Amino acid sequence: MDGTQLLKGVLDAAVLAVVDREDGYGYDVVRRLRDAGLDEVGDASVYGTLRRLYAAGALSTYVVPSEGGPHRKYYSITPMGNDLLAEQRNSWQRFSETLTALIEPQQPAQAAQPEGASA
Amino acid sequence: MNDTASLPATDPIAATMPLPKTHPNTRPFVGTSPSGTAAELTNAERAVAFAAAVRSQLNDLPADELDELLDGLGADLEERLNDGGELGDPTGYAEELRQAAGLPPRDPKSAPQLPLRERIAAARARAASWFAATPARRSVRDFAVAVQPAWWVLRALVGAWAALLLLRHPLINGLPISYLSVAFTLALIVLSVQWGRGRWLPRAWLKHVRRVANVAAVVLVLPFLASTWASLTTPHTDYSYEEYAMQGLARNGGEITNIFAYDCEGNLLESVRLFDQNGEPLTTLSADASTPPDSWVPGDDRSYAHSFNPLAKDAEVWNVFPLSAATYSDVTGEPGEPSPAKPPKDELPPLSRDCSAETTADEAAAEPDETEAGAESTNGATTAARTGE
Repeated sequence: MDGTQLLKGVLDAAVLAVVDREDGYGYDVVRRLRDAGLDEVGDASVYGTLRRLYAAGALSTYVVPSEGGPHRKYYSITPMGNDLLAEQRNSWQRFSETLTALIEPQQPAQAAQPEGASA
Repeated sequence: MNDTASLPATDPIAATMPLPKTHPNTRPFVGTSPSGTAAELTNAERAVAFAAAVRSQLNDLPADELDELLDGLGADLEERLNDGGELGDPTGYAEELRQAAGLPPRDPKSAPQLPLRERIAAARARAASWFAATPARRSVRDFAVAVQPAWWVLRALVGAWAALLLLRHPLINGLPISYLSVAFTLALIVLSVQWGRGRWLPRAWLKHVRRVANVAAVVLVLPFLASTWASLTTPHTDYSYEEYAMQGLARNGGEITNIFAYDCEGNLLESVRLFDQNGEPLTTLSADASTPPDSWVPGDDRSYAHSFNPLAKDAEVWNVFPLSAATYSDVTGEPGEPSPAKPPKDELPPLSRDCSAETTADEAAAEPDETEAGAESTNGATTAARTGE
């Protein structure tokens, strides 16, 4: 299965988590997501997500002048963003446990069933 | 030289690569060479063009939303390129951005109604990507970028030239040259270069002014070059002739303002009519002047205004000498009542012992003071002398 499809649902949480660790500008966030192992994350998806989270009040921005380049818009997490992150962390945990259990290889279960049936 | 001897071998490879990937670790090498500078410009330009293309794909969104969404995109794209990444397709990129930002999909009906501004931006993006496609096009583009500052200066010269012509600035050798015009031109060059660098544009509408001025300069550059070329190839003698050729009557470059004639016996003649070798009246007037030039008398330390000789007052002709003179009033600055001009010499020694009536015209001693008129038009002068008596 394509990793990008999986990523879509949890990109908000990933972005919030990255910004929560340290404030960052658009491409900086992309780079840190990649460094963390999310190789297939699209730049535009991250920028769009940052913008949407900002519009929702989960992130705030400030401008940092850079030497010899354009100003950079840095994102930092808001208290509302922290609440959202905590909520998504919980739901991810539940979801991943559920899914882990669901997609667990069935060999042990299949091995157990015939025993149960025979018993 | 020894240190850099190995470098040129790497440059052609980098230059002929179809898509320049500037890895951070290669930049210390490439960055020191001209092609390294071009590669950096390439990334910045590609980023700008790509951002413009993305923007045109999202132009159905409200302007403030669009600005918020794309704020800093150019810098992000450039950094991406500098990291050795690729940008891909702007349409797909824009769609991904739109979806991730939770914005509504484009209304199909709004697509054809592209504002002119967006169409220009899209055309620029297409042109930029066309120029970025092959190494040959890239080198043409990089060359154009390199000579861009020269255009900034040229367009300022064109603008100053056009403005000074419109203001009817006096032309010297076909060009408007004066301290003021040079200062004006220099100021315009500074403004043009600053605008070219994206500075000094505190208001958004100034960018439109810059664009209009740029187009006007493009249109006017050919007339400007043609006019300048014509002026520069015209012989410089025109200049000195028009500026310094003496008007009116002159002797060896000095201005003649009055003429005193004496007869054979050395007596001052009161009214002498003078004509030149073509029979034209000989006057001290400049070509387009209505009054003769003043005389400066060093002994009196003042200048005199001239008017008609008393006998020529009714005829109002200027070729009757000596002209009468008037001092300027210290109060009003206007010339006062004219009176006979004071000759430098009241009388001369006789020219000949025999100045009797049989004196021929050739020997008549019209001895002109301060002029070659006597030498060149003896006949006219002597005829006039007789008339004056």
